[in-house]
Amino acid sequence: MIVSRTPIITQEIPEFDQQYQTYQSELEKRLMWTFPKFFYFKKGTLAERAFRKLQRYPSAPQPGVYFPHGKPDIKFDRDRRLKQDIVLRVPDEVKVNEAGETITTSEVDDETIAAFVPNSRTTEADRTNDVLSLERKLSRTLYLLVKDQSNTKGWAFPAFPLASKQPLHINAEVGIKTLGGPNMKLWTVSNTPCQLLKFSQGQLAVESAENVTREFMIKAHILAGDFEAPGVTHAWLTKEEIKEKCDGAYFEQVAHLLAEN
Amino acid sequence: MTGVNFQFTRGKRNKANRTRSPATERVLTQLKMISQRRKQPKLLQVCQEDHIRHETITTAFKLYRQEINANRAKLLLKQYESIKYAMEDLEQINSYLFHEANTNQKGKRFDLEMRIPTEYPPNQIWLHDYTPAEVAEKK
Repeated sequence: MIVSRTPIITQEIPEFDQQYQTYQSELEKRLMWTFPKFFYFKKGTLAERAFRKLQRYPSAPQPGVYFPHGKPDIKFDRDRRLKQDIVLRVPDEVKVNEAGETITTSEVDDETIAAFVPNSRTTEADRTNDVLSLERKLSRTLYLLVKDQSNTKGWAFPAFPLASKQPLHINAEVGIKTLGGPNMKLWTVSNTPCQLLKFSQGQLAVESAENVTREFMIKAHILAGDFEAPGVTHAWLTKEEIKEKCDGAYFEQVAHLLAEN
Repeated sequence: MTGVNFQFTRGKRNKANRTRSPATERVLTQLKMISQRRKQPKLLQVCQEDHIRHETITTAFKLYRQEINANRAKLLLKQYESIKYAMEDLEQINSYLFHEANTNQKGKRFDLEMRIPTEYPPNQIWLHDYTPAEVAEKK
């Protein structure tokens, strides 16, 4: 059975994607229509005054003044040659007070809106490289691997002998709960096996081999709880780590089932 | 806009020389909102060198995405082939297991506990002390 923990946070965006996104968003801002403030703020109201105070206005063209970067073309308080920056609220500054707590300028001014400080994308398990923890590598898919006790297969996905008159996916669900305890919430992806491995005497068998042991693979996601098996060496690993730990021939057979991120 | 009296007045418009009703003014403001007049940016004019740069960036990104999509298609095909291989083998060795593995799981839904990846982790990253309902009832 392939038990996976799906990513909890979004993956790291590759540098090229990031640069292209920035380029496109800047282009979009440059080609955006001017913000119709007269529609959102009625003239002469307090809201309009507050909005007006926050904005930074471009300098208007003056007679007899030379503008080295071209004469400003101002319509509705926007230089139409450039992008328009709308300021809706002065961003809070995050400070640390004497007690070591993080406070924001709005808290200092006794306002209700506080600055948002997100949780760290790296966890304690990442720092200690704790492969038993489900809280490591939050942006990656982790897979449960167990070490074969008889040491013929080495590190591999958990496998269970078939009980009579039981479908494959039910057998796998029962097997994993017997091995790792009942305190796991699992969601089986499908009743259809996604791969078949053939073993003969503990080794991956060739096509023509006889007396083979078949291993059908069922995919499942772990949603809550822990895999607790005191006597079993296990680990939650990413695809690259599986490649390092597993036998090369074994990894080749299962590589296409594992997510890159 | 029929029936609206457009009377032009000299000088600045104010309440005293107002010729339109407030309702008409409101409609006009809304029309102004959706009209492109004075709100469109200047046409983006770039030199030939910059234009070539833009073309290069766009083409590079397109090729990069094409490669990713081709790899994904290849992977999906590989996964399909492996399912097919497993099922064909299962059909030959055990007809009961094949039938069970081949039945349509109609009405199967994603679990409610499944979550979509977010930019930052939640306060409680993982629910460790989980006990299934049937086990909790027995205790």
